[in-house]
Amino acid sequence: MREVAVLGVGQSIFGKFPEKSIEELGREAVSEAIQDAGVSPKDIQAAYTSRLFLEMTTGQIILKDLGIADIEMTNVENACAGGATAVRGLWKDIASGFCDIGIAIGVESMTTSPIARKLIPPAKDDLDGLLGMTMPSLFALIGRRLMDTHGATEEDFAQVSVKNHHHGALNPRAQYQKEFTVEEVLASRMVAEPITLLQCCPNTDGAAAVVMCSMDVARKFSTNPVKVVASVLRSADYSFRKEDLTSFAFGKKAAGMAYEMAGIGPEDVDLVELHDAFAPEEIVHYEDLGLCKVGEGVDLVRTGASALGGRCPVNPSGGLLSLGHPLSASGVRIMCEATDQLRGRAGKRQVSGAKVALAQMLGGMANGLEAGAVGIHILAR
Amino acid sequence: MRIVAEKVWIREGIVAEGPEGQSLAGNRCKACGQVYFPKVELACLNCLEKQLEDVLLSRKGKLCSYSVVHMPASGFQPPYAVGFVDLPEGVRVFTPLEMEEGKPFKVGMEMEIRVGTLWEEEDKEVVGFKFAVAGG
Ligand SMILES: [Zn+2]
Repeated sequence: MREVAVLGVGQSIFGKFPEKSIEELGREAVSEAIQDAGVSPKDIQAAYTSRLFLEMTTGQIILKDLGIADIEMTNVENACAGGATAVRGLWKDIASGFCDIGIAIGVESMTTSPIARKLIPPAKDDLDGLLGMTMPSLFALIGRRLMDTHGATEEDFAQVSVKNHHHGALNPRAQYQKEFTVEEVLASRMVAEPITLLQCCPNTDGAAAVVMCSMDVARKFSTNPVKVVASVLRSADYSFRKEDLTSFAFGKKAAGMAYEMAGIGPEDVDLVELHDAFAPEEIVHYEDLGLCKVGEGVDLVRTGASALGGRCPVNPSGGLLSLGHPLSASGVRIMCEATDQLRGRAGKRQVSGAKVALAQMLGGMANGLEAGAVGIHILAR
Repeated sequence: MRIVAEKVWIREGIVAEGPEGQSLAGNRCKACGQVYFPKVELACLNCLEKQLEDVLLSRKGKLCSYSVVHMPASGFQPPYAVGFVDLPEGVRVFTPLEMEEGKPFKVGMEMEIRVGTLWEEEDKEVVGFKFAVAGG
C-alpha cells in the first residue's frame, strides 16, 4: 500500500442558506480545496461525493462547472459517516494505486431537505421509530444512563456545549459564533430530558472538500505534507451484542483498528474532531476513542482537558454543536479542520504544536443495530 | 351513537398471551440460545442456524434508561416518556413508558408491560405496548 497525503482542503460557508443550491455550496468547497492544493482541475483523476438528500449524481453536478468531467466519479451515502466514507473510498484508490490524485466531497442542504422543520413518519418496518425512537431521544437515554453509571450531571452535558460553542466563537466558519453559559444552555428549551435545545446540533447547509494524493505526488507540491496514517470505516454491530448503553462497541473497535494502523496510541493524539450531534455523546466517544479510561469521560469535561489549552482538545472547530452539521459534509469537514490544525493555520483556535489529529464521524440508526456507520481517519505531520 | 374506533396494532405479532397475561413475543435460537425481540424471521443473526422457537418474554424487567420527551414523534404528542427496559432473557427493549403521578422513573427500577392504546388517530386506535413502574 502507498502512503496517502492531504494536499488541500476547502469549505463552504456553514449556516442556513435555503437560497443556495447544492452546486453552489459544493463549488465553494471544491474551488477552495483545489486552490489550496495548488493543482489544476485537470489533475483530478477520481471524485467521491457524499450526500444524503436527495437527487442523483451530486459529484458530477458540482464538478461539471469547474472543468472536471469524464473521470471516475462515485456518489455515496452513509448517514453522518457519509463524508468519511467518501474520504475512505478515495484513500483506498490512492493507497492501492488506482489513482494518484483525487477529491472527496461532502455536501448537504438541510434547509431544503425533506426533513427540514418537519418530522418524517417512521417507515412501516421501523418498529423502534413507530414506538417513538428519534436521534435526540436515543442520546437522551444515553445521557441519562451516563448520569447513573458515570456520575455525569446535566451541568456536565451543558459544559460540553459551552466548550464547543467557545471553540466555535473562535472559528470564522462556524454557524454559531456565539458563547453560551452553562445556565443559558440548561435554560434553553427542553427537547428530551436531560437534553436541551442548545445541546443539539443545528440544521446546517454546507459543503467540504479534500484533495488527496499519493505521497510521491504530495512531495512535488509540499515540503511538509499532511499524512493520512489511518483510515477505517466500519458498519455497526447488532444491538443484541451491545451490553453497555454508554459505549458504541463498533466505534471503540474502529478506534483500536485506527491506532493499530497508525502505530500510535490515543496518548499520542493532539486533537480530535468527533460526532457531537448531542452533547452527552461527546463523553461516550472520549471513552470509546481511549482519550481516557472508561468511567472517566466526565473528568475530561470538568478539568478542561478536552477544551482548547487542555491535554487533548476535542472539537476545536466548534464541532457539530457550534460549527453546524450538514450531515454528509461533516465527515469531510473534520478532515479540513484536522489538516488546518496540523498545518498551524487554525487561527485563534490553533492547538499549539499539533502533530497528530484524529477525525471521527459516527452516525445513523437502524433497528437491531447499535447505529449505522463510523469512519475514523488519523492525520499526522 | 358513539362510533367505536377500529383498533390497529402498531405491528402484528409483537405481543402474545401467556399464563400471566400478555407479553412480548420473541424467538430463540435452538443452537446458540440467543433470544430476539422482535422475532428474527430467517435465521439466527448470531450463528445463522435456522432452528428458531417462539418464546414469550418476561412481563417484568429493569429500567436501563428513560427520558421524558418534549417534541412529537411517531404518533406521540409531548410530553411522553420512552426508555430501554432490560428483560431477564437478555433482551433490551426500546419502549414507550407510562407516566404516572407520584411514580418518578429511576434507572434500575422494576417495570412491567402494559398492552393497550398508544395513541388515537382520526378513526382508529393504535395498539401496542408500554412499560410502567411495576406494582401499581
Ligand atoms: Zn444462534
